[in-house]
Order: sequence, then structure tokens, then C-alpha cells
Amino acid sequence: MSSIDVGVYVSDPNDLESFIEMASKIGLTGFTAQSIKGGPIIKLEDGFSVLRRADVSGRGLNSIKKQISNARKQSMIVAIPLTTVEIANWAAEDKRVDLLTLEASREHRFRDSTARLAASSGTCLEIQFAPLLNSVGLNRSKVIKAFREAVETATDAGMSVVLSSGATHPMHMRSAMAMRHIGSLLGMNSKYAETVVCKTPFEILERNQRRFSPEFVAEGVEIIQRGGNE
Amino acid sequence: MKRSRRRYLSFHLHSDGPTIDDEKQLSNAIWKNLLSLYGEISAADSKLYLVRFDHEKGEGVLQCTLSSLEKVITSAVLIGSIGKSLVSFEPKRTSGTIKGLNR
Repeated sequence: MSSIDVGVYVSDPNDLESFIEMASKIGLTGFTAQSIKGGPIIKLEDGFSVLRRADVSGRGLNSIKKQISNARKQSMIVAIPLTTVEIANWAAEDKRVDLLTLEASREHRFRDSTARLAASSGTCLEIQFAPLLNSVGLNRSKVIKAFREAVETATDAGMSVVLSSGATHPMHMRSAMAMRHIGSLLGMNSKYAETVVCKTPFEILERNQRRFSPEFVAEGVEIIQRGGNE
Repeated sequence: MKRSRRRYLSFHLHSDGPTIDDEKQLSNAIWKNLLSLYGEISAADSKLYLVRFDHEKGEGVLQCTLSSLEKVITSAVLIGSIGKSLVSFEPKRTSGTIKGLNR
């Protein structure tokens, strides 16, 4: 069982080695980082991949719209935190956005209408389980409630879900099998949890690798054969 | 009394700080999480028992009932720290016998 963790936050590039070491130990084949040099994807010798991730946020929709094109060109994974309805619905429809990240603060609700829009455009709901490791009792119960409700809303609407760690420290990362069990805790059946952990991240990666190929023109438009001079 | 079916789980406990010397620390951390997440009845019914733990390698084997296996794994996976060390619990294999874990 292998997986890619699309929600890792490496704040200091010097820490990258320790994240790679931990990820390899627990059987992951890749993870994301924000401030990495060397393009949207770095492939290491042992087949391990480090993907550049951009979390686009701003004070309003206009601010996000200004940043999104640039973020898409430079990053393998583009995520937008789930905030206001206006931003969430716009991001859900925009094909340049890969992930709508659910915030554990529970300030903003994840709506059915947003999930339906996202389902039609292929945007996934990202759930980061880091808050579950750092809380206990009532606080954790409230986070679990919010996560379970969001998972149910997404699956009912046909929107894909991605489970990631939200790790800021290597020890916050979990193996694919461990993440599958966290998925079960969030109301997914074991087969669906396995898809969420082991299949969906690879599908996003594959889709985005196509975007970076020279044949890609726009969403749904690709160069199949180049004409000669004759 | 009907005897419940047991399951064994092999695991690896990754740790960033000093190694977890005391088996009880680990066992208590899993019990606490199990109790907090699933309640007293589930914790009692799990018959959770730490069979062995090699604190140098971080490898060990847990025993619990078949019906509580998923709950025990989930509870263990959600342990963020033990004492002052951050930890990551990695479930490896499950089996009905200890011998089966090594196959």
C-alpha cells in the first residue's frame, strides 16, 4: 500500500531531508512542500517525489484570482482553504484548483452546493488530520464531527475526498495504512478510505503532470500530432 | 463464557526524541486514546494487551479482540506524542497468531 501525502508543510528547506527520511520509512512515495527549488516536481533517485504545493489565500476573491494563474504555473498541487461561500464556490468550479482544504477552525461550513460544483469540475475536498493528533476530548470530538459532516456532504455530491496529514513536523506524517484507518474514523468505509488515501492523490498528480507536458494547451485540449512544414 | 477471537498486530513506533523505554507508557497512551475515542465499554471489550515492545528498534506486537481491531489501530495511529517525544505509530501486519505475523 503506497501513497503520496499532499498536505505536508516544510517551512524550512533544511528540514526537507528529515521529512524525506521519515516518509520513506513509513512507505510513502512522495509528499508536498511549499518552498522547494527546482520546478513543480523533484524526482529523487529512489523514485521518491517531492511536489511543490501552493496554498492560495487572500483577503477576498479578487486577491485569489490574481494569484491563481501564477500558482498553477509553478506548482504541482494548488489548494485553496475553504473560507467564504463566494471563494469556495468559485474555487470549486475552477479547474486550476486541485484541492479545497477544510479548515478545522469550523468557522466556515462546507455546503452541498459547493460540493456539487466541485464534483462537476474535479476539485477534491482535502481533509488534514493534524488537528486530530494535537487535541483530545471535547475539542477532538468537535473536529471529528466537522470532518465527518464534510466527508458525508462531499461523498453525497460525488465529490472526491483526499486525506492528508497537514504535517509541520516529520513525526506528524502517517503511513498509508494508518491514514486508511483515520479515513474509517471519518465515516468512510474501508474500500473508499483506501481509494481516498492510495488512489486519488495519484490521480491528481497524473492529471497535473499532463498539464506540464508540452502537448497540453488547455483543459480538454491537447496537441496530438504536430504538423510538418510541407 | 464464549471466548472472543483474538488478533495480533505488529507495529513500528517512530519517535523523534528519547526512545520510549517503558512499555507501560505506550500501552497507557493507546488505552487513553481508545477510551477517549470509543468509550469505556469499547475500551474494556478490546482486551488490549501489549505482547512485546523492543524500545531500541521501536517494534512491537499488540493483542486485542477481532471486533475491536479497527478501533485499536485507529486509537494508536492518533497518538501524537508520548511524554516529551513526538511519535508516529505505524501499523504493519495483523494476524490471528503471533507466528502468522512473521510469515
